[in-house]
Amino acid sequence: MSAAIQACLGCGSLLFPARLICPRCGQDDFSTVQAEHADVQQTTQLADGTLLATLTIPNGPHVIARVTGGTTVPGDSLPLTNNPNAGPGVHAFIPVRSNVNENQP
Amino acid sequence: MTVSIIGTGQSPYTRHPSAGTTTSQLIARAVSKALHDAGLQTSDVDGFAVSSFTLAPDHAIDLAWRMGLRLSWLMQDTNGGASAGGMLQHAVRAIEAGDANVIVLAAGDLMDQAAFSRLVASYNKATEDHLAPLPMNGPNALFAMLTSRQMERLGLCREDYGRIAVAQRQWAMDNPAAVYRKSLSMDEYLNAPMVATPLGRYDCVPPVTGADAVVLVADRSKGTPRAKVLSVKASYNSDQQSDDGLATGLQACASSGWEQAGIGPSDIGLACVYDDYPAMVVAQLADLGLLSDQDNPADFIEHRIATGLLPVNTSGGQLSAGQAGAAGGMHGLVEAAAQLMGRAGARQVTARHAVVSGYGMVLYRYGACATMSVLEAAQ
Repeated sequence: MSAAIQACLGCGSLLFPARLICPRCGQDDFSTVQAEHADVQQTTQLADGTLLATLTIPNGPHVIARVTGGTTVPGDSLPLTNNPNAGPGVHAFIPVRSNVNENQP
Repeated sequence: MTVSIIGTGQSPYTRHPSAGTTTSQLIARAVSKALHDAGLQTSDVDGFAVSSFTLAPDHAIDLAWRMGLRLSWLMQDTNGGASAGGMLQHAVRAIEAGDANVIVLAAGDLMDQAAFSRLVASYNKATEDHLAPLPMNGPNALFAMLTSRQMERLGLCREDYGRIAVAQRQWAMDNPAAVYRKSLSMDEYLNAPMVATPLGRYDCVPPVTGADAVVLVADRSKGTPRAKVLSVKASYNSDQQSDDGLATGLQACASSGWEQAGIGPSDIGLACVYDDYPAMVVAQLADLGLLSDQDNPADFIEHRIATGLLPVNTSGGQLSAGQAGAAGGMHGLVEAAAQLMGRAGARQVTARHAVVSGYGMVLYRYGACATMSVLEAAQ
């Protein structure tokens, strides 16, 4: 399992959500890379039971995800996915459109 | 600076707008009240700015036309909770540059359940692509996790945030325009239904329908109660959404804001900070320097805010008065100006200087816009 993340071809910065120009180096050439895991920083449970989390991708951005397939606590490392029905096991679901970078088909 | 606010107006906030209510009507009503408060007429106005999420298909020029305004300066701001400060910043410069003499700033929204649902589902591209499909309906969950980070960083607990909500409700009891005026106890706060852990019902602003406006003029009329603008600063994308959101953009502009005003945090007798959540009250008071590094945050809340020793959000803030869409950013400015002009009724405080902050536009995880205004009571 993995989730699509934007990578700057100029400086290698990992970015999410995708940018149009890299905030670090100013270049506008990007690729899409797959991030496999991220570390849970905080969670919040909504009134309907939905569990959401803030996670940090190693050497990358903070992302907001829905926790699927179970529960988690800060400090856990969870597999990332763009599939809301991923399984089995606990995953961090990050919704994306079909492409992360707007200039790519 | 040589510009002052001489009038404020509000279209009454309501949770349940009557059928047929329109955003344009609400804003026009607030503008009329502000002009009446200033002793002016629409024919005196030559500058106008507006912020609204629900004004479409109209724009600022349509609204100005429908209100009968003939203008030499016009703007429309889209930065939600930071829009009032942004419009004020531009308006002050416009008056100083001679582009206009009398400027009305207005903000308002028809924010019923349907409008709120539309707004939060398509707030921006990041929301449409990455948050709404989670699903996430509005920013409560984001600020719940931000609050958890702040609790851990500052050693705060739910009771500390409760003291802010309870204190603001105490102020709201003396504000006829607040939608919630019934006293709020700590037990009621703590036992309210959970919205997104650790946020309960009273940690979250109630969306309301309403509008706010202020009238700005060059400082010429001695003897007229006014709120003189000592400084206006803004900060956008100060950290590119790469940090934890515990510091707002105010941290980047507060120093120059105080320097321009010629006073410091210790001179402030009233703080109207953007209170979409109690945690953001704490964050902004810290970024402005009112809650200093030497202060214990929990003690500061209990002994300065809860006691009213430092009056904070004396209208009841958005937490009790309501968040009227883009008018949420204008709410604190109207309250601060009314207080400094001695027109705050039963909740009137004695203050010579007030600081107003705006905060807003959650790009992905927290707000990207911040504004700071320092006002002084003058005659």
